[in-house]
Amino acid sequence: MQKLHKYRTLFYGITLIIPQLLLGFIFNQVITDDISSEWDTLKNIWSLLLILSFIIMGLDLKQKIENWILPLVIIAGYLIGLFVFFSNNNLINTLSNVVTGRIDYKIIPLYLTIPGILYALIDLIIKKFNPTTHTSNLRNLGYAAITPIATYVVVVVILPSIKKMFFNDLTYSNVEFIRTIIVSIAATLFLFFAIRYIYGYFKKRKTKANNPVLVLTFGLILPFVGLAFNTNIQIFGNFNYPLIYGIVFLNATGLYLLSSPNHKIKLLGFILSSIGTPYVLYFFLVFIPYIPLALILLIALGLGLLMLTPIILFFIQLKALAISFNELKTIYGKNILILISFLAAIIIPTTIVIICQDHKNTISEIIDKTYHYDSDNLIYNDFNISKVSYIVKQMTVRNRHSSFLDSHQRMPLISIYYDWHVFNNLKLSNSKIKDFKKLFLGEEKRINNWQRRVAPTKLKDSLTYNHTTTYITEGDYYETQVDFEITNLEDKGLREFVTEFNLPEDVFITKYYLDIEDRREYGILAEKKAANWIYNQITNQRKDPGILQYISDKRLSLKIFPFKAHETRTSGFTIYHKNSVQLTLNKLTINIPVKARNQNVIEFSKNAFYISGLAKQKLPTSTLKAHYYFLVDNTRLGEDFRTNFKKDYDLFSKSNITNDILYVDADISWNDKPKTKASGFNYIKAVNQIQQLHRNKSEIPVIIVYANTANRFYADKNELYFQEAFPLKNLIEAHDWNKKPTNKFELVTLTIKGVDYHLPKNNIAQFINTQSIDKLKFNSNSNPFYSALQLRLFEKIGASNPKLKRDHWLKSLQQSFSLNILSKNTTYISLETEDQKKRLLKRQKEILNNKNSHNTPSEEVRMSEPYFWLLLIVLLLILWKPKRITKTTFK
Amino acid sequence: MKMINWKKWGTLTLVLLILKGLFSFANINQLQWLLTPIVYLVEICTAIDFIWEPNIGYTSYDNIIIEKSCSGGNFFIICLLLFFIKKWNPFHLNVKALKVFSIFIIAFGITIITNTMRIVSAIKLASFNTEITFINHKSSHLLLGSIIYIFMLLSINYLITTKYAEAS
Repeated sequence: MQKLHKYRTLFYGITLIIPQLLLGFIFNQVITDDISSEWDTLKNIWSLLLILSFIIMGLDLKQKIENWILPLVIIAGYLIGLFVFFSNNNLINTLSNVVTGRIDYKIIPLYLTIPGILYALIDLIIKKFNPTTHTSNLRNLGYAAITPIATYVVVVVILPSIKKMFFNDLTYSNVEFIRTIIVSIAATLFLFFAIRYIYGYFKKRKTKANNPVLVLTFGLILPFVGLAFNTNIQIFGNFNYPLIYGIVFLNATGLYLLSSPNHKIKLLGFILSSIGTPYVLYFFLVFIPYIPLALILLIALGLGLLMLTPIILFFIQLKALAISFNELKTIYGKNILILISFLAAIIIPTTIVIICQDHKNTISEIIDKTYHYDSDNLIYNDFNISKVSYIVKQMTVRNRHSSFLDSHQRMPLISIYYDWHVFNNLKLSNSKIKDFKKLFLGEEKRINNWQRRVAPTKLKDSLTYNHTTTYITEGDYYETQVDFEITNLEDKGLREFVTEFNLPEDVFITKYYLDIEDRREYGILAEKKAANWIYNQITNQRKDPGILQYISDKRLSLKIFPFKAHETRTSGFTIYHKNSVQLTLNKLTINIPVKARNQNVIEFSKNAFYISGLAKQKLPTSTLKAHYYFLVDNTRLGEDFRTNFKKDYDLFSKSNITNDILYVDADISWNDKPKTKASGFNYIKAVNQIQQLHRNKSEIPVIIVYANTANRFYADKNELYFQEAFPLKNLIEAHDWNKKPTNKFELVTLTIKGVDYHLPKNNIAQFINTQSIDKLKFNSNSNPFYSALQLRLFEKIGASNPKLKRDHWLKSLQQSFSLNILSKNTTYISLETEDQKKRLLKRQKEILNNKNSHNTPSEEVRMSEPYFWLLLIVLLLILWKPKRITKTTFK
Repeated sequence: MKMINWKKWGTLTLVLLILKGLFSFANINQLQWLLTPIVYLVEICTAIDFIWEPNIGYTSYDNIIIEKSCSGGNFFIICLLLFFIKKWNPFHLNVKALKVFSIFIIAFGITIITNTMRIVSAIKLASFNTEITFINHKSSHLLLGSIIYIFMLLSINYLITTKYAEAS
């Protein structure tokens, strides 16, 4: 008897005390100091109930009180506790994690309290209200049926009538309060009678859990109806997977077969229902918190019965399996049956784990193929678009807060596991998710005016300049300081000066400044994202910043803020250059004429060469063949383009010019048309692959694009980038192509160590790297101009191969900082206050450490521990081994 | 046939679940007590300076991050369980509470030493520039950590089991 009492106390510990401690712990984590006082009432109630439970449990264990007092106190106490919690429901919104986290804090108290109340209820029925006769048990059924109806009448008819007749002054909130109390009491009463009836039924019928009618009702019909009902409303989660219906059917079949007298069929039933047990357990756990709600829905069309089905089915399943186990063990043996049921029971969880692992692999693959692909690798990846779509959807929903009343429902509990396994703390930014949607799901672009890249002139300005040029003999380059005077011609203040201008690739900017009040504030070189983040913050605060950065390979943007009415401000920068420079800022043309000195090809670093525009003119000309590439849209939007391509290609193929056809969807298939995909058009990768292929080839690529513009994927580039990347105008849209293939291009040729390098015949400076790009390294150089050339070469190579870009991103940032030269990854920003500078540096550090931005490549090294399960296995192995050694030792 | 001691195993499972739950729900700031001595020793061994950043952990200028997943919580739990299961009583104490307390302290100390060894080795491993094609950086790091942890657990087990044998 004493032992039974101990077990009873232990069960209370498991169902009530541990969950309550966990509840306290979870909420302690999220209740911050500033909101702590608002939670005082609930904290006190929680502590009081816990102490009360401990005292009563102690007294019960020592048998100092009647055995029905403990369950009764727990039921009453925790119902009141829940009631107070939900009366203060708005407190939940004070938790900061509610907005950002994916945990639903409203449902946690229910999850962690209802099991205790349910156990107490069953305990109370067994100890005090054990149904003895059939008649008394039928009465329970009657009460259980009457309770919802009576509640309905009281809540919907009597209560409003009383209010109207006698308490006209009764406020709405008071009625709501009384209504909630009535519903809570009624829910408990209903559960009490329902459980009592079910218990009495099983007790009387003696182990008839595998009764076919019962099994078919609760195992098949009601789950099907419930799932079908949930399909549209999705209140409880998204269970719309054919597999779930299949499992329901499988489990019900198993339960039905358990009633067969034939032991082989019974064994089959045992296996099938063992397979289905995790599903039953899952729905049992999911629906536990909804038990009180079930009563309310019992009134509405008897839906509550559907909600109670998982709970009832859980008990039926356990009982039916236990009966069959006892019958079958005499035939097949206990151990075999345990093994069979264990293997069967892990089928569903194992399948889930395998699916999650597969999705985890897919997500890392899609990140890799979107941002870090190797342009040299021409193997086509046949992505399963529907799988990618599912993962992206899960990721999108995960980024939002979801509650149990949220319309964006997922599978409860399993989705938490899914997030943990598949995403593993990887929270991708919305911009990345947008990229995936565009590339893999073909989400069409919205037309935004800013994409036309017209320089916005927010300020009506008058711009003047002067410059001072010095020749640096040791470095053989010019250093020119350019100073601007910008005047706001308008009568209104708080205006922003914005300009965009082109800069040749062999001209480098350094020492940017902005005069703030009476002092000269030199710009800080910062990582691009960090600098833009702080600039946007500051312009909101209306303080003084100036920002200068690259917006494409050759184009820069300069912004200064704010200007008062008719105010004149001064700013400027220094440039390193070898030849004359011409800049156009808004309508002002800046001419910096210099005498061209050494115009030979310069090896500025080992195996890296600089050829200025003038040096190119001295080189011999040569004629190169063209190699045509047709980028054909292989997405669902590209049907018309594919048809046009077929017609054009029939004509083109007669010219015998070498060519390749690239079928482009989320990836690129060379000369082999895959099945049309409902994805985006991976324009950037197709172009990068061609550029990479032609790095050292004596042929000129001519690219004809047969594709829709709506679903093109540019990654972080834009149309301007593509125009600049093909100076021979050899990247052509199909509708602009004159259908007359050009077979030859005239270029200039530079021969280095017996190898010919062909360059466009123009006056634009060029860089050549003759060694393997994998071995490219920064060499320290005392000549700032040569160091700047190295930095530029590094960036250019990285641009067409994202794999290298990731590898060298951090180094190029460091070089830009140490050389104090503006690069494409950095930004010059002048800040007014020390506080702004501190914030910028902090943000920059976060970005460099990849803590706040997943848009930047990771270079950090985490010191993570080995997995817990691995250590647990090691521990079990350790425990198993010495036992054998001890035995042999003592023999 | 020896019966399974349900009470013992039930209690141990509970201890395991509670400790694992506590470590899982704790944030990095709450685990600073475990990380600080480790980082102190790592700094001595590697000459790398670490800075504490709230909500992130200890970071170095070389982008090495010692955060929640590096705290050694898993090892601490397993080490404690091993001591409990083996009923190890290092100081032959008779008072149960003192026995448990002494085991906690020893497990804490061993965790600090083991985790320091693991992190120091991992930092050394990360500093090698050699590329191994069949194993990526993360896997090699975990593999190294696993080897060190398993080695330490086996050593502890050997030491305390040998003491048993000597005692008997």
